[in-house]
Amino acid sequence: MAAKDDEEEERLRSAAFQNAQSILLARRRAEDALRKQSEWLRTTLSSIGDAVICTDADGQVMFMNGMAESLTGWPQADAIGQPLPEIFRIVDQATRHPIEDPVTPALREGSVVRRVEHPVLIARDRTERVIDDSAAPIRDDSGTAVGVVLVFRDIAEREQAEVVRARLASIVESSQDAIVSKTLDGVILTWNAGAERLFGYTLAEAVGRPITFLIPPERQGEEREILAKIGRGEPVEHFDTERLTKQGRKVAISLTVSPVRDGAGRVIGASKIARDITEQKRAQWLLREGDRRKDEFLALLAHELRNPLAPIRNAVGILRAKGPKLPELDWARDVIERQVNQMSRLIDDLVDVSRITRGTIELRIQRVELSAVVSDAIETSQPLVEKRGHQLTVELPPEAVHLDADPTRLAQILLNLLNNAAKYTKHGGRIWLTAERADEQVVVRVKDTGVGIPTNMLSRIFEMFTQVERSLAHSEGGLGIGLMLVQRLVELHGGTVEAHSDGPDQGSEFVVRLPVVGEA
Amino acid sequence: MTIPTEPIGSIPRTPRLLEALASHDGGDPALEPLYEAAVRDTIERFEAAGSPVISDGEQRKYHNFWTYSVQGMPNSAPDGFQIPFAAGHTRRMLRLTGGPFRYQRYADAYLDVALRYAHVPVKQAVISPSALSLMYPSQPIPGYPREQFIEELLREHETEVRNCLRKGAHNVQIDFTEARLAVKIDPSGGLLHSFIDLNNLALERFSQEERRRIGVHTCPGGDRDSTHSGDVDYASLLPSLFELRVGSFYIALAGEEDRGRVLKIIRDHMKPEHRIFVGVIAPIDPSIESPEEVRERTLEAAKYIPIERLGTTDDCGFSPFCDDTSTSRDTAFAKIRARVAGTTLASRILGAG
Repeated sequence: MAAKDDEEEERLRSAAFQNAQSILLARRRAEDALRKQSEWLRTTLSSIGDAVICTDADGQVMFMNGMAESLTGWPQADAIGQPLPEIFRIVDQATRHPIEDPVTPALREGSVVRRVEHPVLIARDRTERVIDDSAAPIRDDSGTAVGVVLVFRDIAEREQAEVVRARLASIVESSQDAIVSKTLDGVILTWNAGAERLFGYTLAEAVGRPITFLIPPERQGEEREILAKIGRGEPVEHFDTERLTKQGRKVAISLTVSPVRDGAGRVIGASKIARDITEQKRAQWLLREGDRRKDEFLALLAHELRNPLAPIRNAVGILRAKGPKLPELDWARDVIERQVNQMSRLIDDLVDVSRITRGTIELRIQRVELSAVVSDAIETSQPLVEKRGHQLTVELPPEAVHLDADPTRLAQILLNLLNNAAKYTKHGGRIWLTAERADEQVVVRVKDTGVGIPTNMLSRIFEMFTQVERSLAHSEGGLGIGLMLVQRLVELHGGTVEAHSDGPDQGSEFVVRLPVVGEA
Repeated sequence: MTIPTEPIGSIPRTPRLLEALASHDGGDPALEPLYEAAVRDTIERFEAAGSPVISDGEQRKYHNFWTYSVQGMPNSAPDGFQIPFAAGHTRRMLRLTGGPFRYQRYADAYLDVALRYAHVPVKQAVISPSALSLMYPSQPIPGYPREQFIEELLREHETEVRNCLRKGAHNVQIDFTEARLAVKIDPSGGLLHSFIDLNNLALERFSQEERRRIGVHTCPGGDRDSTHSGDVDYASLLPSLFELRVGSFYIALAGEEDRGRVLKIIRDHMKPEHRIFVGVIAPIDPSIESPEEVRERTLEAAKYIPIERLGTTDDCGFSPFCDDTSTSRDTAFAKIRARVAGTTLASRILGAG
């Protein structure tokens, strides 16, 4: 019987010890899982961007992560076991009085403590930082507070960013322009006071609606194009368009649309700036209308002034043929004839200007040889050059230079430049007319030793009605439209003209570049 | 604040129930009215005895406190290990023959019935994982690894305890009678530590608040006025026992020859969060303790255990094995009355009443 009992006990012992091995394995698995969880928690706390300090129920530091070490200046090894106020020294921003750390109230009240005012944290090395902090009790399974977790962060950057954000918001809100943001689907997200003024809709009326309600039916396609470009991350440069106001009136605007990106750089929407350009458009229209009326007036004036000239010229011819041959009468006839010719040239210039500005001038292009055109111009200007006692020097390329040009207009260009040189050079001056080939162009220069051009006038010298000297005392006659005609005619021939001068009394040089016909 | 006092759990079954169980299977539905009547009567008598915390007397544990949850498992055989008692008789447990390991019933089903009749808090006793772990034989079961059995055992135990707590048990008492048995068969303490480790693996699944409502009962085993490990010295057991992660300990003491020595061991090894219910009634002793005896035993315990962490109980259940008729119900309730009255007397003397 005793042997049987021993056998039974051994059987029981054997089973129990076999189980013990499995229990040990289960224990190791449980401990391993707990360790992993603990490590995971520690790694998580160490990885987060906020500073974290954990204390026990007595407020002594039990753990602090790297960010907490950085902000307090205390290594965890030194901080463990220390009372929190030693590590986490905070004062009021304004009064500099010490503030109660949030651990004590968190333990006392048993709930999360978060301050409205941001305290200043004084680090171990006396560095000060404005922080945002909160504390929450750590509870065990029974709900008893066994410690506190304190979370804090340096908010200097955030505060600075908030200031910048507030300023930007203020700028947007106070802008006279309409500034609106929208989603990539075109739904309005923000709507500033400028937008309310321009379009007449309030913030509440606009936000959440598709922006297409502002677009006239005939311009709906614009929005699709805008959103497509924005979706590709491309800005939409400012362009003039129209939008509808709440009252149904079309308003002219200049529109700029830019992509809005999130922190990762992804395009998440668009911002548009709309400027009311109604007045600007009206001013432009008035300007164009004024120009048009002026051109019409000039055309009419030229026509009306030209009409009396032919009868006068005819009358002078009759007087010269059939009138008495008295010296006084010859003088009078010469004066009338010379002045009629002068007036005729002025009127021709006016007519040309009118044609150019209205786009009605027509060139009679033909193959011409430069030297022939230069000869014509010199012949015409010769009386004036000689009258003023100037010495004209002409230098042309030895070979023929051919151009496809209107010979009359080309001669007119050179004549105007020569006449200008003659008129604005003191008696006995020098004038050079030179030409040379430069690749596919011929460069014609008309240079003088005349009054020169002030530097500030160089940029305006080709504008209509511009003369270097406007005073009557220095006026050499003319309307100030000759150089403008030169420029327009050169451009019509596909060329360019430049003016150079070192200043008053330093002479002038006009450089005309014209395309030449290549050697066939 | 009075000194709390609680029973361990089992009360001899009613004669009618015992008579019926002799001729019927314990799971026979025809026995339901008898079970119901037995529970109702037990609770009435508990309450009549003035017991502030009661149990259902384990009237529905129709085999015993050890195997109630696995009785009827298809994957078990009756030839499990055998526990020898000092009186010469033995009790044989079940042997697991295959997986999976699933309880056939959870003790919260007993609690459901008791709560219907009770007017005072009801505690529920459950068997420990370490006790049931002995169902797995020494030879591995093909296709059912021991590790899987341990995991399923822990899960079943957790389910049972959690259900009891959720349904409103005043507390849940884990019967750990095999603790002393473990020391008996392995005096080195290795087996005891393994048992404690297993039970702690289950207890760690509960929160601290839940563990406060969980206790552990240890005794030398009581059956037919006899024990299976009465000769095991508490000094070999208690220091390790207090490693269990529970709030309360129910420690048999009344039957000990040198209670002062045991109380010193308790004092030296109990932890601040522990409440110690010392046994002031010996169920295997046929004589009924007087309230004065109980009072003296309680006062003696109070010399070693702070009064706010002291409680009284019975050394063991009065009938852990269903068929144990060595103690009558009348005797059991007389002893319980004595425990309640004696504890009250001690409370008054100690200023806790």
